[in-house]
Amino acid sequence: MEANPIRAEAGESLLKEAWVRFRRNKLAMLGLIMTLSIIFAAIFAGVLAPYDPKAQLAFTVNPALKLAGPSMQHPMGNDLYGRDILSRVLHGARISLEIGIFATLVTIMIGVPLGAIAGYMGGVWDDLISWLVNVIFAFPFILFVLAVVSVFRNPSLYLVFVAIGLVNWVALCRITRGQFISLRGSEFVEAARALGLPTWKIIFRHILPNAIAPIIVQTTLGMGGIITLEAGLAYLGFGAQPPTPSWGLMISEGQQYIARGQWWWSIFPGIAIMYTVLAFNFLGDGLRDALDVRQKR
Amino acid sequence: MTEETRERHLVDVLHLKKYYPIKRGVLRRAVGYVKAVNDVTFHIERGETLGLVGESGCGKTTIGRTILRLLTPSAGTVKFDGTDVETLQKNDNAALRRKMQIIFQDPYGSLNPRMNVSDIIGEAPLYHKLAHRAELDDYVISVMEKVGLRPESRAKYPHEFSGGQRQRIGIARVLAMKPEFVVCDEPVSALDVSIQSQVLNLLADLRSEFSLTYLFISHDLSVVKHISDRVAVLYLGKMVEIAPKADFFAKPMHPYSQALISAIPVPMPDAKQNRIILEGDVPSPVNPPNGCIFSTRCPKVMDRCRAEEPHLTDRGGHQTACFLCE
Repeated sequence: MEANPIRAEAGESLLKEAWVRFRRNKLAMLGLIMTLSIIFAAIFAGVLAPYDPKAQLAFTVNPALKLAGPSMQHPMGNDLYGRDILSRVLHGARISLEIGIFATLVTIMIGVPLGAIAGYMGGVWDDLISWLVNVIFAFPFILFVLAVVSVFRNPSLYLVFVAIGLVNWVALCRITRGQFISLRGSEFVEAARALGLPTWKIIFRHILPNAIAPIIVQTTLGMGGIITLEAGLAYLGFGAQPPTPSWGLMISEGQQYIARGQWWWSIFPGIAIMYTVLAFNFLGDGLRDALDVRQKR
Repeated sequence: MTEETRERHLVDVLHLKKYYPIKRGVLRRAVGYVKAVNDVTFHIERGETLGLVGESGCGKTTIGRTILRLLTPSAGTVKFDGTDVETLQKNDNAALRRKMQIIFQDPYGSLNPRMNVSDIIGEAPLYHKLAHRAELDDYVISVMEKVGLRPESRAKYPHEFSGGQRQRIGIARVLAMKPEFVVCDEPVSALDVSIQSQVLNLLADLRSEFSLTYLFISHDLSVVKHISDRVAVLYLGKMVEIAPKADFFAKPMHPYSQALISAIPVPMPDAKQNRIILEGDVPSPVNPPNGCIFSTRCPKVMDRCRAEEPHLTDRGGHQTACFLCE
């Protein structure tokens, strides 16, 4: 297309303004940096980790490394098999993020479309979906995941995030539904209908972009929950299986040694979980404050 | 309907009703209905502006939205250019559908905050193939110039504009559809008085330039007086009077219209005003009074009014629903 003779002045989209607000929020920026550091650790775990996370150094290199405390060579110490805990914690970030991201994707893929249908269509669809949401809400969360996981004989990681997604979508579904209900009746959606625009355009161009902020916030805050849930599952023996360097699994393996003074096996992965959950909560809170359109005007 | 009236009438509203069920109990059974629009018949002539007045909650907005099928009527028909709007909708007759448009009251709520002006104005014309993608920018610019917006601001977002400018964006969006008939739903009520006249004049200019037909909904009689050719008065979901503007303001026939007109402020401090003060509140549209709907508040009420319902009757183009006028 040729350059138009009439220049267009740049506009400030709401997203741009949200970014300005986000950057001013120190806690939010801290959350962002913490999150990026975890993502960095997960991606470059192979390079950053000084040792192979599965190498049982107590048997191959030096028997003294069995349950050795933190040292210069092994800053977080070694476990019963002499495995380097720092390397395992770094690789654990990979597992946790993988579960977090894929479980969140499953959550979004189920929760958002169902919430959108319930909110936009209303009537029987809304009744049916809301009923399903209430039923799943009534279940104890972790028991439901355990039930889903234990139906299959060998619990793989894929199964874990599908299972988490299968129960986790309800909160997102409720939020999406509420957004769609309120936006469906808004004047600009009515205007879009008066303009004769097709339903798919109304949903994807007019409603969804305005509903996305709470969905993003809920998803980010939910990441922390999913990562704790995965750790809990691994701790209970479901989910990641040995010798996978999963944080929850490491806590579970090392717990009996805490009382004996060999605390590093469990504590360091515990700190990693805490760090990750905090990072996502700071980020989510910051996003909520930045994206809140009600602060405008 | 004769061939001649069909030519003259652009919009015909026949026995339009819109009832909202009130649902109670576990079974969500309808225990009653809010009669928002209760058997309304009128027409709008080609090129005219019909002012629709009434107090809040009387069904003005519902009528506007029902004509455009943004709401489905409970009963009755709306004809546009002689064709039932319902069949237009069913056959997805986009070409005819786009000829009826609406300007909203709230310039904040009626624009999508996530879209820039160019997209807001250009989206529908592109979809309805009124403009090709290559020439869309020029199309948007020309429409913006028509409504007095700076085309340079086309990449900006609604929240960067003032209320009056936003209303112009809403008007531009409608104008880009090349409509014939526009429902103006209180288009200036949310604006400052100083901006109101600018927008009203713009609407009047566009009407003559594009030979538009307006249904102008307002609760403000002085605004209606400024822009309308004919005036229709709605009370509690029923039409009580329809008359040419001059006729209406000179000799209103329905006691309700008389009270409304007497309440218009006169900009002269010592002008004598014989205001007719109405007693009581508007009755609930769930349970409208028997007989004449205005009988509970009418200063000239007679026994007959409480028993019998007066119908809209025509006396030389001046229609009134009142026994006093018979």
